[in-house]
Amino acid sequence: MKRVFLTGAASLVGAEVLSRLLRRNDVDSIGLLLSANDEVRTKDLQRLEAFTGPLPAAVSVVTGDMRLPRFGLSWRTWDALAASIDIGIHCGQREVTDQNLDLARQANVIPVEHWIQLLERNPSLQLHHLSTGFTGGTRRGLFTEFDLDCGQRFHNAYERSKFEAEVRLRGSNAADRVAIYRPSHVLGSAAKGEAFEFGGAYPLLSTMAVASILPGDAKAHIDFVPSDYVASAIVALALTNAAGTFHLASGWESSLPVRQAAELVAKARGRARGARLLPQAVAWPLRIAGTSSADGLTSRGLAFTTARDLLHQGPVLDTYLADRALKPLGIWRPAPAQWLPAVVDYAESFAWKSRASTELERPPVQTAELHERKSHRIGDVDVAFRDIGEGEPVVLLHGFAGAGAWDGVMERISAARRALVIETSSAEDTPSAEAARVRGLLSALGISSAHIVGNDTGGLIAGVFAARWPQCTKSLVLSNCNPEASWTRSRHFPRSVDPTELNTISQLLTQLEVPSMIIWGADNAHLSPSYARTLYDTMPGVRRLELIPFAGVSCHAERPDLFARHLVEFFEELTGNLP
Amino acid sequence: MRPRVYESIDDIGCDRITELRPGLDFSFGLLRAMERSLWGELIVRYLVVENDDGLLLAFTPVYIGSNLNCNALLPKAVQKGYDAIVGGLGMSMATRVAITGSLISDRGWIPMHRELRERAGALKLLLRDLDRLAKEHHAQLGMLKDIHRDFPEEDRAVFESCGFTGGFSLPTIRIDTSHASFEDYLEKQLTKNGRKHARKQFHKAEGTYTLRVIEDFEEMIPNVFGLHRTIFLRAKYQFEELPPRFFVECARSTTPKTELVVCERNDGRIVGSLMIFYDEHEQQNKRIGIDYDNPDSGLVYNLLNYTGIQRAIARRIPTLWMGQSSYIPKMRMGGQLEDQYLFIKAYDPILKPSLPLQRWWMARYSAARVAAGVEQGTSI
Repeated sequence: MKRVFLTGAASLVGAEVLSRLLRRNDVDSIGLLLSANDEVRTKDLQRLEAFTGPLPAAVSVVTGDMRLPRFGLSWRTWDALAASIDIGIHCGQREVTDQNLDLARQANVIPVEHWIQLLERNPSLQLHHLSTGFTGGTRRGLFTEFDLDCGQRFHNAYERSKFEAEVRLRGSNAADRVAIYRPSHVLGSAAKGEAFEFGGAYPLLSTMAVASILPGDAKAHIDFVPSDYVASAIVALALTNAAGTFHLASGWESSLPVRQAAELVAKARGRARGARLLPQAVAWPLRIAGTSSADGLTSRGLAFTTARDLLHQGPVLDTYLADRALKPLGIWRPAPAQWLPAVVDYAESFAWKSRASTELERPPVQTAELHERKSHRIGDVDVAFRDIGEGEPVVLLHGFAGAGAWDGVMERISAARRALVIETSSAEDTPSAEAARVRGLLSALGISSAHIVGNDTGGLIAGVFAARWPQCTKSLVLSNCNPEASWTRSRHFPRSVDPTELNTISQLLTQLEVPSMIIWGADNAHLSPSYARTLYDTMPGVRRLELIPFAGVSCHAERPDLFARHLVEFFEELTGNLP
Repeated sequence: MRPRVYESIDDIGCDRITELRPGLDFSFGLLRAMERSLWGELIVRYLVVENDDGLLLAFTPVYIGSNLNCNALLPKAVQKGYDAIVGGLGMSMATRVAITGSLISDRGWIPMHRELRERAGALKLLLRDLDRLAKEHHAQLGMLKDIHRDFPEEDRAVFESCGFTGGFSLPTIRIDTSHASFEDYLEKQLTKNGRKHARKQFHKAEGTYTLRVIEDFEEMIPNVFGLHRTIFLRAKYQFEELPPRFFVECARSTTPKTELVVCERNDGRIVGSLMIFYDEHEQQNKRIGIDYDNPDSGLVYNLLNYTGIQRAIARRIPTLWMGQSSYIPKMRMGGQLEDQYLFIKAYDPILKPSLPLQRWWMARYSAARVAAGVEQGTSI
């Protein structure tokens, strides 16, 4: 009997996977990772029960966010999770084919890194990862299950991020316990055309269904695959402990030429003829996207960009390993020509509109309070600041990125703490003068001690503050800031920071006993993570060093979720609240 | 004498093809493996000349499609320009080519019955069918691939008379394996340095690498295909892409016989693989796969090839063909370069003016020029 943990259950493939897991009698328990947001979670559960029927007691829900470290779970829950599952199935992903690489990486790469950590904690855990056949990107030619990096480029952030996730998995120590599934364009079930949501390839399909002219190559083959085949394959292989890469695709022989697919889809929708196809180079200047419905999936822009990238010959997916593994299990891929009309009928009956809003797309909550700017006169300077939340005060000092870059972190930590962003914008003053001003403001606000967090040149101010007033410093957090590095080119303190003062700050830091943490952007091009390591090695009070992946000098703005998470963990560690 | 076109090698039959003594590259098993592993829009037809009694007098496969990298031997700028055009305007702009010959031949020709007297007539019939097929399938170029220098000059002249422009193709490498023993081969075939190098390879491998020969290797394909694929993706000349299915079909072939040499590191990891084709007359080290994450990848490459040579010598096979790549190490192993020719015909008038330029460019692939490059330590 197997214990399965599933992420991304509320998705086109994830719901089908859950549905199939529920039918297995060799599955003991199923854990679902669902949103910590009550509203979203309740809605997802309702939709899942509508799709699969009432969920039995064997299904348990874990609330969290797969983008956060440990999926947003406490250490205790994380350890318990690692020990309590045999199979992980990771279907959670952001499928939007745009160029937002940051969002795509957060949703498609970061969770995979967390899965790798889980694999490292449980040496018998197997991971089954839903990727995509389009990790082949712009490659024109054969793309086999043995390929990954073929020197290809990518049409969009989705393809790139899924490729990066595969690279992470294949490069991990647990690679031999990982199965990667690369479906082609996924649509609803072959049996009835049903779909949990209109994600996957539905935007492309709807474009083909309604457009009269599209930029595409009529002779190129387009490979559609039904979600029930994909889910059956994943579940069957997961329960036989398969590892490796599997292409879940129709294959060249069964896939349809674009012209034929367009005709088939249009006719299923009751149109006399399919979209006319113009070569990309001809269509692009004209921005021809055909007819569209503004409120549906097929706005003009979407129609054009999806068609531009996907209606040309992509990589031809070879299915050798999948066929070899699945045929003995009695799982065969049906030809698209047989089931595509039913899929269109079903989508048509819902007016193509039931696509679920994914939590991964939700923007951070913006509140008026977050932007309320106050000021207080300290000496002869008006010091501007923002102050929200209640509890232990946390002072956030900015660098070149400006005070606004703290918004995301401020919003997150203010739920349980008092967050103060102090604007230190005077280009003429030295870090020491700025630190004195911060001290003055805290006194004026009646704050006797605070956690001091500084990024970039704000870190210099934070360092001086902690060195001069350790009794007022509960803890010090330095981010992307190293006084030993060359700061004379910094635009923030163009004239005031001289090497002598930097040396002084360096000296102060090496004697600082205040509990400290270093947070660094792993991709910081100006100050590489080796500077973080230097601080970690030389500051006596340092407890933690954290690197933020895919982020640079403004890692607090690029990954506020992760940055805030590290801060909160550190603060809780200091107060002994961490489980 | 009458021409005929078959759609499958199975329709011609193994016995009729074997009767022509077609060599390994045109053997029934290899051509069937190719036919069953075609991907994309590529199709195959078999041009045949028979006598009135149905006796097979000559035959050649023709592959038609646009998913072969026929620009592989042309300048990089041409390749990039072509890719940009197809990327922008779609597959309708891709050049459709009708290629006559074995797609993965080490040594090309047109197999003909040894008692055929009217060779020129038979060739003309084949080429007439090639023209017809090419036009039927809208091919823009016709190509006779890798015609080896042993193919009679007067026969090659027939190609020119039928409108084909000839030029050099990549040379192939022959190794004389008619030696009493591997030691004998080392002594007689290799230079002093080559001999020293070969012995050093085996010495370095001791205790670290084990070589194993597997005759029934179908089950091994998932373990080794990735290594072969790596070699392809790194290759300078990427002409045809072979899917795993090709290896499966090769493993099942009995005409010719096949085997796999695998190199295992002492931690059990497979770090190299060599697929061998052989009959009583010749052997081909057909496809090699190397794990480039292994720091000794060069050593493994040499070990596999030397093992292939050992196998040929042990079986008393007099000739080993080593293919059209990596000339420097293969010549160090005693290989001799032999010229091969490519004949091209443009069915699309737009492409016709490019043929003299292609002939000029491809002069660099003559065995003499390649050998001169190898002498200087630069291989094409």
